[in-house]
Amino acid sequence: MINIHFPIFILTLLLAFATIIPLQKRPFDRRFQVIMMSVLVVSLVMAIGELIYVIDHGAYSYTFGSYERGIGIEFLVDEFSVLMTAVVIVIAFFILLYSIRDLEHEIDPSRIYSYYTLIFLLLFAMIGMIFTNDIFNMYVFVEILSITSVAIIAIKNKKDSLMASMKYLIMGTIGSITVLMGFALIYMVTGHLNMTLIAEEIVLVWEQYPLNILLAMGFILTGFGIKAAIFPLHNWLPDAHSSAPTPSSAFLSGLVVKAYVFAIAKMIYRVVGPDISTNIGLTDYILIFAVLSIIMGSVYALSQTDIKRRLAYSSVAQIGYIFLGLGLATDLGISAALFHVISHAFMKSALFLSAGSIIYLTGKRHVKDLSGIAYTMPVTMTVFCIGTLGMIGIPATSGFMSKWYLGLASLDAGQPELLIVILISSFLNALYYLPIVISAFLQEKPSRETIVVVSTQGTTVPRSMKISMALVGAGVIIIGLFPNIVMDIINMAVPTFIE
Amino acid sequence: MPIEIDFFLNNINYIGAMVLFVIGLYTVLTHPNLIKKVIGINIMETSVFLFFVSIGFISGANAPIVEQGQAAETVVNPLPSAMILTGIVVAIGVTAFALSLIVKIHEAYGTIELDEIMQIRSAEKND
Amino acid sequence: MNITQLRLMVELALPIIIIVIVLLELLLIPFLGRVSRRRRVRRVTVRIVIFLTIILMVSIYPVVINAPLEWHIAHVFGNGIIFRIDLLSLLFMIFAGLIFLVVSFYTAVDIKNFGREKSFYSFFMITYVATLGTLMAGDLLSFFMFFEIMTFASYVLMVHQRSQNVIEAGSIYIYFGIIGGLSILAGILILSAYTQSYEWLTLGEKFGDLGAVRYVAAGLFILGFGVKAGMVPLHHWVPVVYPKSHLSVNALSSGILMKIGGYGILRLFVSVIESTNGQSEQMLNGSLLTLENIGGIIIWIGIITMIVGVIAALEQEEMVRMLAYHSVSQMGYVIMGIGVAAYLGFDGSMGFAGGFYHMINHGIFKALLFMVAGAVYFKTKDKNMYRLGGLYKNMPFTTIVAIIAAFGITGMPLFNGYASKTVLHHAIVEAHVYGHSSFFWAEQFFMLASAGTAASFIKFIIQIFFGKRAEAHKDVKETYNSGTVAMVILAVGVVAIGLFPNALLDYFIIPAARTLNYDAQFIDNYLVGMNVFLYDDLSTMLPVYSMGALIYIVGMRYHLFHFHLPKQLNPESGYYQPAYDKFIAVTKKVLNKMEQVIIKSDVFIYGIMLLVLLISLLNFL
Repeated sequence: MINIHFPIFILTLLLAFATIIPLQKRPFDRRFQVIMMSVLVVSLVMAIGELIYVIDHGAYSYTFGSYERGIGIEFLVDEFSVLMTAVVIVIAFFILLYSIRDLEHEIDPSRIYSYYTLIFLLLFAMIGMIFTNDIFNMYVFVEILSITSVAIIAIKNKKDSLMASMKYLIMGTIGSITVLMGFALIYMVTGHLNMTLIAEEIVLVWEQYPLNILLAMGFILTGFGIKAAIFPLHNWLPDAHSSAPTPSSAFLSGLVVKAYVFAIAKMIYRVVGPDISTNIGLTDYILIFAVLSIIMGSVYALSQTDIKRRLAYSSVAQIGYIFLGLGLATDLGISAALFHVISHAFMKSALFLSAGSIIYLTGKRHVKDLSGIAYTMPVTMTVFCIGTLGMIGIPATSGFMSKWYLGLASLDAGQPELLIVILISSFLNALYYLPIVISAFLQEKPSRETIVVVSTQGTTVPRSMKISMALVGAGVIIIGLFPNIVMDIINMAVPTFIE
Repeated sequence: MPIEIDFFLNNINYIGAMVLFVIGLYTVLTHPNLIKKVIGINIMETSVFLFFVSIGFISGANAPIVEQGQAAETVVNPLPSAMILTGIVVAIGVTAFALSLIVKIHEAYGTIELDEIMQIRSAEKND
Repeated sequence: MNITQLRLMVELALPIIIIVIVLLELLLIPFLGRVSRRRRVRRVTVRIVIFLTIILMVSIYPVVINAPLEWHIAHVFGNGIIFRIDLLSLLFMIFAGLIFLVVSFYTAVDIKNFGREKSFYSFFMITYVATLGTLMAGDLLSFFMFFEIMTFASYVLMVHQRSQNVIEAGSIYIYFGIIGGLSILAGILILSAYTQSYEWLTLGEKFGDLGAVRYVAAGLFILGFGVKAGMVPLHHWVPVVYPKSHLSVNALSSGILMKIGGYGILRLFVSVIESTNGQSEQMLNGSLLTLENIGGIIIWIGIITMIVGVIAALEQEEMVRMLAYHSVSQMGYVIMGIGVAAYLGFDGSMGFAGGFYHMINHGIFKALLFMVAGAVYFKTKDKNMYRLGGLYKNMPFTTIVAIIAAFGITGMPLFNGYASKTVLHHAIVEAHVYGHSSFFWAEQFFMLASAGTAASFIKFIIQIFFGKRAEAHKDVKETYNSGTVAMVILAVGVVAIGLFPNALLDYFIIPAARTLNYDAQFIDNYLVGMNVFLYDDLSTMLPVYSMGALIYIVGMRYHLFHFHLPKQLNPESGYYQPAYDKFIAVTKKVLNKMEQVIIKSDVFIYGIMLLVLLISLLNFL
């Protein structure tokens, strides 16, 4: 029953559904929601089936149309790709469950169908990017991902969103073009587009054309770095993630940015190879920027007063962690980075979804206005609290396990100063997340609030939103208590990754 | 001197591509008008396409059409041209999207000069 | 099924049973709140549950006295959780249970009519299970988890009053707690990375092997546990939070939570000594040398803590702050004892016994002191000692109990403080005799601190209970409720341990020292059957008390007690607050400016950064 074509089935299902959505004539009603959710459930079942298959049989390469490697496009289905696909679909399921009720109040109702089209195209592009083993194919998927992720910000017709999406579009396109230039440089010396073939070729060609490959990696790193928001190139992120509708923020922060980081990881470790990368100091270069991201992201977040902007800057810091793990260039480092990709996806989605619920119900975004709301919104604030504890690094949450693994990896690689950086940033995280949780749970509401607040949305968060938030929060804790579920699979994947 | 001009003439495609890339980047970064930024992006994209095509070119080779029964001969690499076609389509998509966003921004702000937009934004923020 | 079978079952799964019982109670608490009578039931169930857990823990004593018990739970946290109870932990667990039980009786005084009981009792139970978990944990990861849960749950208890200034004070507590936790995490990570294991035991075994890293790791551990224990210079949170929180919470925190810090440091050293069976000569010497160095530093840190605590306490006029500083000072005694335990290596059982014993005694009399302060505060609504007075007529029971507690803390013979202070005195003398001669001065400082403590408590008793009574407090009457029961239990404890000091030594401390590999001959010679009532020791109390009385008289005469350190030297207003404020202000200004530029400018600056990046990449050519 489980067969090797499942990745393609997932992709075609998502793409087909994306193209069917605009043909709907009915208004956005229950029937459509059920169909949408069941499409995601079917893809999830296929992804999990594929995961079981790959764990049993090992990684395999899937060539389209049975053309062999150098001629046709190839998908390399390894354990981590399938795991990441499963995680992407699970989180997408939760976010879309949340968005069913939330979107009506954020964007124009006539555009809801367009929004879902864009989301499904985004998922299609992301999963394609995760699987692909061909650099130009990756470029195409990157472009689709770029355009759809800008569009899900711009679909909210407010002034802030439009300007933020314009900035994201321009910067993202500069990034894409830079990446394409890098790919051109690589193609120039190796003559292949397939990553495994390029890797073999680079080893042979490295002495003759070091400048080319170096320049190529520089362009690629910069280009993907713009899209993945490494420290100096992160300027578009706070505006984009904070002025987008909440489901979009969750998608962008939790999934899209990670896909680009994963692309960088593929380029460094699969295409150029870990030996050459460490020789030319590429990984040290990444480490410097990772440390800068971590510290500066947290420091910036301290001075923000809008809750979504604070979460966006916090994303910059967390992506710094992932780059830290990648920059260590050891087995432990890469597995820690990949673990953090998954754990941060859950935590950031939990935080963004609960922040979105707060904004949904009370319309307040300013951090000082959130006193005492834990009594009106207990489920929301509990999920926010779980996300906060994960960010600070309290055991029993997935954030702690990723800090643990990153710490062990940095000590193993002989760089204990990185451990200090990780712990300082945990403390900074506490400095800007804890006051929100404390004032929500422990402070009294200002008394005039009880008279003035009239929420147009009823007095409580809709059930579908609550369920999705609770499930994401539960995911954070489950991965925190039983990290083996994820870590074993990652450990299986890392050797094939680094080969 | 002669060696330099030789080098320059032989690789003029690549040098031109890089020069165009930088011109495009400069345009995007410095001009405040949003449409000029989009033009700058287009120039950058063109430079990349030029670079790609130049990679495939082999001087003195034939067009990449192999007729029945003919011996294999040196042909220009057709693959970069195929990739560029994809790239051009992507560029058009992005340009179209960017231009429609500019229309919307003009509706919302009344201007498409970036410094005026920033002034309006900071004025709003300080309110 | 008879007792033996029951006991076997308990022995099989004790940690799980304890956790499950407490969690069940936790689930029950929210439902018992509607009616006032139901609330009484809730309080009673809390007490019954704690009592039940104490019984369970006592029941495994006969087994643990032979060998430590271990439980493995697989699959959680990747490598599984290990629970390990040995004599050291068991005594602390029973003690923790007792303190929690007594405080739960006392909460009838201040929490009962304050409100929000559901939240209080829930977090009370969570703190209880977290404390027990910290003491039971056999591997570092679960230890850290329970430690962090304990910090956060006790934070919620501390800020139970929920007003603005209480929450501000509480945030100092939690940030210090998080810093402490992160230091411990750094230490754990460093040790785990170098020894590839997570258990306390294997850590101890390989400690000697590690090289210079072990000083870093030990330093981080001590920093982290020191925050919890109130070690100078990390003690800042104690006088900030204690005046603002409820007195039952203070009794709890001072009684048991600070001890967890001391327990942590003790556990670190003890696990090194404990696991030296069959080690090579070289590794053994390495471990001992490390312990000696670290121990020496800790002895001095303990002495400094003692002195700083006492001097600051003498300056205070508010009851609760004074008791807070005394907590810091008494923990200094404990830290000094632990330092001696490390410094003298295998011969350090006197220090071990002293530190251990003093933690127990201090828990008892400090909790009692906080309860007394609470009782006085609730009747008179005044916390300032100089404004109270002459209350012995109105509150005779409280006066008696206060005097008992004061005798305990100052070390009057026949009360419990005397026994532990004598053991500690012997310990510091040994450090001087067997070790470095500079510890002679340490001993002098020890006497000085004891004198200061005596002076401070003479002030406490006389100012509050004797002397002229203020007009406003003429009609103060004592009430007798469950709080009284709590105070009676503690007072009986002070006196009982004072009269029979060897009981605790023989049943718990000496067996613990034996199982932990301390030199058996030394134990036999000095600790077993130690008579604390020797003339030498009794006579040292005389100069202490007389000096204390002298300090008090001189101080009152010349108003020295109102002398505050100048603003520049006072760490609170001089260093912490302005530094923190300035840091936040500067950061905010700089960041706002930077962010404005980045948002409002166009992509130009971004381009410059891009160019800088590309150029710096060329560097790697």
